[in-house]
Amino acid sequence: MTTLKTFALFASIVLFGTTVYSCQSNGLEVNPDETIGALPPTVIDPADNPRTPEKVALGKALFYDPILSGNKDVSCATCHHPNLGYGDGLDLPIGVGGEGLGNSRRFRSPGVIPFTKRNTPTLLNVAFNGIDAHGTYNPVTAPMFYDLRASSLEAQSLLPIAAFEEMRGDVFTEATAIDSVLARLRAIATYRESFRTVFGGNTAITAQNLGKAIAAFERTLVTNNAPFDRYRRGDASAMTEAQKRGMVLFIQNGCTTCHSGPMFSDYKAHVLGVADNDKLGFSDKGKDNKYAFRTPTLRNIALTAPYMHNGKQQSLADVLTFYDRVRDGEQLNPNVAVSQLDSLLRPRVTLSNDLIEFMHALTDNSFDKSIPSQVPSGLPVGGRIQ
Amino acid sequence: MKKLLFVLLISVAVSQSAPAQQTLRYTVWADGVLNAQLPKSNLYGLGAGLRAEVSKPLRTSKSALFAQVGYTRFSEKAAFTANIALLNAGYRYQARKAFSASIGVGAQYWSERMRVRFTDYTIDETFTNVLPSATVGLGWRFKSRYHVGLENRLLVKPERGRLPIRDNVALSLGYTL
Ligand code: HEC
Ligand code: HEC
Repeated sequence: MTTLKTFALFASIVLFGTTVYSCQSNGLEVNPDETIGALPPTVIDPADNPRTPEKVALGKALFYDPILSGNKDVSCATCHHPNLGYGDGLDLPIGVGGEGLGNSRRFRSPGVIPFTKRNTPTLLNVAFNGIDAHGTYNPVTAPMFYDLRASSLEAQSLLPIAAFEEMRGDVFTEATAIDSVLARLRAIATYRESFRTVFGGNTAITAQNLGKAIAAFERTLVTNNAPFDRYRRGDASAMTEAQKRGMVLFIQNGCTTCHSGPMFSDYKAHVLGVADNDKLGFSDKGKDNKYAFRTPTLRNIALTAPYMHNGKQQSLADVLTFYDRVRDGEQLNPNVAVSQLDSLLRPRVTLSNDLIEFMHALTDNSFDKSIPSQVPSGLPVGGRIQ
Repeated sequence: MKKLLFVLLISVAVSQSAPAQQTLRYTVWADGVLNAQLPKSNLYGLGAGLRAEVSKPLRTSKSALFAQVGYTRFSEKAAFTANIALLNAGYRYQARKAFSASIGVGAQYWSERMRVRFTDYTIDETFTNVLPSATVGLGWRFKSRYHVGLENRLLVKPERGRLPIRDNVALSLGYTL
């Protein structure tokens, strides 16, 4: 009797063991259209705007020169500053009429000029805008802005110069802003010389060439060697265990349905229903007035708080809490019904340290942080940012 | 290295309980394990395992000291599988005839296999760790030799200045030889 019992026990243990052990599958399969991968080693330039060191140097000078702004107080670097990951560290940018940099930036006379309506995106890796999950992109049609309203860096570069609250102020009208700025550049010998060297001819200071020079500089702001890139290229030790778990959570939770490809963006607009930023005084309706905003890149995300199109979320933990609340069916923007939210938005995540750790693996701090000691206009480098 | 440490720990535990006295009792447990952390870090779902236990009733005979060695496997949930060796020693209080409560401390050796298949290549890695553990359990005994147990296993994993906690719950059937 006892022998029989012992035998039965032993047999069931073996059966149990083999059943448990044979529960095998092949691992997590990542949809090819939602894959995430390393950034390419090099950048593609448009055929009509090849990069030369002189052109990049000219673009960099223009980028830091407040001569491009109406009141000569704002440069591109005022909002896209290397010390702030080529963002500005603010929820909503302060352009014309401001002073200081980052958290200490203020309006000199509050209430006169409005905030710029959207959070400043980083310019790091903006050269890859539009890249899909298979690594294909075209710099001529590269999508720009939260509402995708511009294509290519060349075209984008001229827009802030003509925007009232960003750079123009009330010195010029929108229609005359670019021509007025070009006239200023033509009056400066160093610019006349540089444009001639780079583009040839005595009439080289044109809107098109201004855009090309700035775009050429922006295409050098590349960080393609984050721990995640090294990991995806085969260095298993490049990410920590927590980051690897976080990567799995990122895929499993459907983050890659929108944050896909080497830039962690599908470059499409989605309705997430982020709450409005009260500072703005009106509701930003996004693309086609549908409250859709383009998926932002998650590259260098640890350097570019606060988050979302209006800087409503202060930290990555806040962003995850936001997704949790959406998952729980909460309506966060009174103008956006839960039924209007993007159907791809089905995150299962709960605030997870591993997921945050993974997003930190997308940081590559080795980008160009050098700031020119002077700009050709002789104005304060970067604008009124002291 | 971690593996060696774990084997060493087990040997010490077993040798401690080895000087067999007549009063020693041997129990086998079959565990169904749930990773109760869902949805927080839903890397694991369900697991199953086996444990062998040696216990020594204390003089009051109401309570006992026990030591267990065991194996648990978390089957695949998307990317991860885990093979776990565990060691647990503790104290069990027999409340009345049938009900008992126990606490224990120990360690678990985790060998976690992660597989992610991208279009261009497959990541296949194994992480090994020893995680300190603490257990709290409730038990119910019937027909003197059979047991049903419910146990919460708390594991800590020191990681870059943080102490993430893994929480597993085991529902077990036991048989005392
Ligand atoms: C007042 C702050 C401010 C200034 C000054 C500024 N930008 Fe921006 N920049 C922004 C904001 C805000 C956006 C996003 C606007 C949107 O999406 O609607 C943006 C978007 C961009 C983008 C698109 C990035 C992307 O991924 O979509 C580029 C490129 C860019 N800026 C370059 C420049 C250049 C070049 C200059 C100087 C000519 C400049 N910016 C000046 C705030 C500023
Ligand atoms: C339906 C598409 C979609 C899904 C799924 C999605 N996101 Fe997003 N994500 C977006 C969009 C669109 C924004 C910008 C929203 C806005 O600004 O209003 C965004 C913003 C973010 C930001 C802030 C980026 C910045 O620079 O401001 C982070 C971080 C982020 N998402 C992480 C995640 C994580 C982690 C997941 C998975 C749990 C996830 N997202 C799932 C579309 C998505």
